Amino acid sequence: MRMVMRSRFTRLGRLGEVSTVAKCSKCGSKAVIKIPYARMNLCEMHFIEYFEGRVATTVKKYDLLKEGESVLVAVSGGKDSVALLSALTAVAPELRLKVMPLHIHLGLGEYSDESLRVTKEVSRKLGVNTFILSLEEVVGATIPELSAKSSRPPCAVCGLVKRYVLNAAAIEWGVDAVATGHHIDDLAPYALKNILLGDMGAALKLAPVTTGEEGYLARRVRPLYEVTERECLIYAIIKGLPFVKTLCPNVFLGGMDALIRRFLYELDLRHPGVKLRFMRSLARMATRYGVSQARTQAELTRCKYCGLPSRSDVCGFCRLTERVLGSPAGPMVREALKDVRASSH
Amino acid sequence: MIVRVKIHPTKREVTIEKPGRKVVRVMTLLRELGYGVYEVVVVKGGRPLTEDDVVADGDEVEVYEVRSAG
Ligand SMILES: [Zn+2]
Ligand SMILES: [Zn+2]
Repeated sequence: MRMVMRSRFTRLGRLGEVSTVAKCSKCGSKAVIKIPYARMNLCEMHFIEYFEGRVATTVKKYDLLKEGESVLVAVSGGKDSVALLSALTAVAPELRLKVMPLHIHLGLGEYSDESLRVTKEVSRKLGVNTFILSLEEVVGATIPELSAKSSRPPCAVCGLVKRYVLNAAAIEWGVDAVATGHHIDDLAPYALKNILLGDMGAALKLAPVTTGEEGYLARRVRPLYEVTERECLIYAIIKGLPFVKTLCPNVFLGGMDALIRRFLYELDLRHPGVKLRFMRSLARMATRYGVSQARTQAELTRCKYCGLPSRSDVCGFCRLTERVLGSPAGPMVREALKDVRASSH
Repeated sequence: MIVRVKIHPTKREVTIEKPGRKVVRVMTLLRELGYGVYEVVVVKGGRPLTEDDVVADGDEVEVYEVRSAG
């Protein structure tokens, strides 16, 4: 039996410092990560095994995807979505899943061009065929243009467009679910914020899975629900996966969200695992009550233009594009997605 | 000792000087840079370092800020 060495003390010269070189809890070789909540240190190989295992366990434990199902993976080119695509591709044979990556070129100048370049490189590296949709080519406008002409914040427009396109693609292509790269550090602050603001319904929508409605609302799944943002980054680095290293030009890291995030960071530092326990209890609650993406059945209606889910007779995407471009772009996007799929065969 | 640090995503480059030292722990380096241990990933030669590892004179490391939403 191999002896597990947790640490080794090394005197690094009279003028240096005393170092406790962390050893892998599984094999004793040099650790590249310490995971306090799991009380483990792991080497490169065992961390990859741990990360991918955690993704597979999340998929099974929360019933995100069943054997034989297909999953559309949203790939932006950022570290999280790149880690998601890589891990899902790795566990797909074991879980019998069909992985279908989709990248949306949002027209955010150099940032979007770099995102596309990285996505193509990652896809090549992982041996997957990624579908690509250019917003500007399909609707004739970029996110900054849609934002400026509608006087809505770019992040709100971007979120709306991405949600719409991902759902439309899943419906158009008959895919069973849409997977996004949201990890615990994306989700936990929003869950806590919603609870603090008294919106339990919104908090429960941050569960690992939100159900869909056959034919027009795809199930959304979050395979990175139990991994941290730092783990995603380390996984991408160890696997040698390219990812976009610049910030989105519209990103805003401040306000209440940043404060809550800071609080959770400090809390988890002093009480490792509390963030995970919080999100697991949220997931249990969501399972107990059942979480649909629409909070009530009454909210589920179909857009008169594109036929996809809407809270009123026109969906958010068709309303935005109608206002900015003169005609609703939903039907155009659905048509374009058919072409994207066909041209990739 | 002198260690060169490149920080992502800002691409800022910093030189850390520790006269009289041969090595310095990653934890010390991060304190110097104003980061918490779990706010970043420190990489040397393409491999992540833990906070307990040391960097030596002439080393070049990359520091990736974890929170770089995009
Ligand atoms: Zn190991
Ligand atoms: Zn519509």
